[in-house]
Amino acid sequence: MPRIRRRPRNKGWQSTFSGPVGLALIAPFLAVAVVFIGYPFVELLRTAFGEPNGLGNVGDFFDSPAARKTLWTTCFTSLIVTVIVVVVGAVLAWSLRTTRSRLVRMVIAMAVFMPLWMGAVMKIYAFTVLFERFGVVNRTLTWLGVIDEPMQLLRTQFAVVAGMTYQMLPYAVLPMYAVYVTIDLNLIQASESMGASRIRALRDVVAPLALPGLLASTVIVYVICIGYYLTPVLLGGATAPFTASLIADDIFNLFDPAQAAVASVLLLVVAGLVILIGWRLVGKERMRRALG
Amino acid sequence: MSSQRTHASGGGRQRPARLAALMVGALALAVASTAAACGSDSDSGSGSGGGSKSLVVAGWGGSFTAANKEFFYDQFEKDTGIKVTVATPGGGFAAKVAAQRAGNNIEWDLLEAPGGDTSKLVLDGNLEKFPASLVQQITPLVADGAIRPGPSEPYYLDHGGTVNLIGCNTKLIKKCPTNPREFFDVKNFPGTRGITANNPIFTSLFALAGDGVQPQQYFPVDVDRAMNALKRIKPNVQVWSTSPAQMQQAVVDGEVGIMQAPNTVLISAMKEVPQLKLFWDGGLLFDEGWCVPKGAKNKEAAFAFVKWYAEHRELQAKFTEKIYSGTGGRDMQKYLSPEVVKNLPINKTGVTLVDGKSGAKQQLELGKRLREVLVG
Repeated sequence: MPRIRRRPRNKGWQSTFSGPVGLALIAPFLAVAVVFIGYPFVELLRTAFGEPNGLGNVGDFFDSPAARKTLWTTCFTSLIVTVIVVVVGAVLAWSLRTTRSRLVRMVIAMAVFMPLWMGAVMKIYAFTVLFERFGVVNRTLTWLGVIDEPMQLLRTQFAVVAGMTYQMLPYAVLPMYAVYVTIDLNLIQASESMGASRIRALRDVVAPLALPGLLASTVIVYVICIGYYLTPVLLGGATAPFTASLIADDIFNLFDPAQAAVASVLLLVVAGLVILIGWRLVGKERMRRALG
Repeated sequence: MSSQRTHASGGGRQRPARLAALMVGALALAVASTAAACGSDSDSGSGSGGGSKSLVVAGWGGSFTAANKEFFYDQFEKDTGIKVTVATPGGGFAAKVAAQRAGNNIEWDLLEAPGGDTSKLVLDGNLEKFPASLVQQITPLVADGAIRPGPSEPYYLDHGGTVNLIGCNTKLIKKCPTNPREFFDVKNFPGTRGITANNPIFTSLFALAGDGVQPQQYFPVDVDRAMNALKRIKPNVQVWSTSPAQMQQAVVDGEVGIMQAPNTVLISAMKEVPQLKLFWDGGLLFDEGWCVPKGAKNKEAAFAFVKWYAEHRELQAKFTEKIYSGTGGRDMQKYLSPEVVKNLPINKTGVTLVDGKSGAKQQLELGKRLREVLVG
C-alpha cells in the first residue's frame, strides 16, 4: 500500500499571513504611500529648509506678524469650532442612539447627512445669503426690532466659525454614534436601579465608555479644521485668513515656495502634536477602537 | 450586546446597526462624490493637453471674462472648432504662471492678463514671443503700439484696459467722495468702504493718491507711505476684495456704499444698482492683453485666437459697447458710436495710465507689505 503523505501542518491554510506574504499584499499600498506621501513630504521639507535661508526660513516665517497672526487664528478658530462641534455632535449622536421616535431619528440623520452631500461652495454660499448685510439674518433681526442697522456678519470670525461648524458636524457625529452603539444601555437602567440619578448614570457610566470616541472625534475634527481654506477665504475675507490661505497666497500670488512650505510644515507639526496628545490621553488601544 | 440594543431601540434590534450602516454608506458616498469632483477637475485639466483642438484661457472672472466669452470665445469655438475652456484664477497671473513653470506643468494656453502681470511675465521671461508671421498678419489690423511692450518684444496684444476707480451707491451714501483724497477722508465722507486688493500695485498707488501723491511721483512706490495710508483707512473698510466677482457681489448686496473697483465690475453692477455713481478722477488704468505663457501646451491654438481676434473688429466693438472696455483693434472709432468712444476709460479725464513695468519691479515687496497691513 502506498504511503499517504500527510501535508505538513504549516503548509495548510492559516488565518494569519507569513511575513513575506503580508509584505507582498501591502506592497501596492506601500508603493502608493511612498510615491504620493513620502516623496512629496521629503520635497516639502527640502523646500522649507532649502533656499533662500535654510533653517532660517522658519525664522523668516515667525518674523512676519501676519504669518504669526494667521497661524494663531487658524489654531484658535479651529479650537472653538472643535469644541462646539464635539459638544453639539455628542448630544446629536446620543439622541440618535437613544431616541425611539422615527421622526426624530430621521430629522437628526438628515441634519447630519445633508452637509456631507452638499458641495463646499454651495454650503458657503448658503451662509453668504444668510449673513450678508441685507441677508436673511439681518433682515429678520431688523424686522423683529432687535437691531436698528444691519450688523457686519459676513467677513467676520463668527461667520467662519458658523460655516465650519456646520460643515464639520458630521465628522463628529458619525464616529461618536459608532462608539455609542457599542455602549450597553442597560447599564444606565442598572445604575439607576442602584440609586443613581440619570445625570450621574450618564456621567459615571456612559461618559467613561464614550470618552475614547469623544477624544477621537475631537482629534479628527481639529486636524481637519486647521487645513480649512475656502470657508475662511469666502466667509472670513482677506483680513482673517487661515494658514492655508497664506500658503496659497505665497504660491500663487507672491511665488514664495519656501514660505509656503514652512507654513505647510508648521500645520503638519500642529496636526501631529494634536494626534499625539489624543493618543497619549486615550491610550493606543482605545484610540484604535474608537477610530474603528 | 444584542439585548442591550433591543432595549435601546424599543424592540428594533437591528436599527442602530442599520443606521450605522447607512451612516457609513453616506460617508462613503460623500467621499466618493468628493473624489469624483476631484476627478472631474483633473479631467478638465487634461483636456487642455494634446493637439491644438483645445484652448485653455485664464481670465479675471466676473463681467470681463463673461464678455470675452460672449463675444470672442464662443464665436472662435464655432469658427475654428477649437474648444475653449475658461479658467478664472482671479488675478496673480504672473506668480501662478511662475509656479506652473516651476512645476513643469503649464495649465493655461492664453491669458487675459492685466498690465502689472504682463510686465512681470515679460520681465521673468515667462511669455512666448508672438511669431514673426503673426505679428506681420495682425499689424495692419491692430492700433499702433497695440503689440506690446514694443515692436522688438511682441509679447502681448492690447485688449481690455481696466480702470480702478471710485464708485458710490447714492442710495446708501449721502455725500460721495469724488477722488482718492476724499475716499481716504472718512470723517467728511462717511460710509462703508470696499477696496480691491488682488493687485498690490493698484492698491498701493490708490493709497498714495489718497495720501496726496501726484501721478508723476507714483514710481518708485513709497511703500511705507502707501501702507501707512492703508493702515489708517483699514478700520473703515468692510471688504478687501480678492477677486472682481467678490467686489461685484459686495456692491450689489449693498455691503459697501463706497468702493474702489475695476470699471468693468462697477458698470456691470450698475444694472442691478442704478444708483451707483462713478468718479473717474484719480482712476488708475492698467493696459491688459492677450498673452501666451511660455511652454503652453496649445500655443498654436492661442496664436490662432490672437489672429482671429485681430480680424474681428466688429466683435471687438460689441465687446466695448457691452462693458466700456477698450480693445486692440485699429480705427475702432469707425465701429463705435461717438458716445461710446467718449466714455471709454482711456478718454476719461483724471485717469492715469500706470507704468506696469515699474510696478512689476516692486510687485513682490508690495504684495508682502500689503498682506501685513491686511492681516496684521
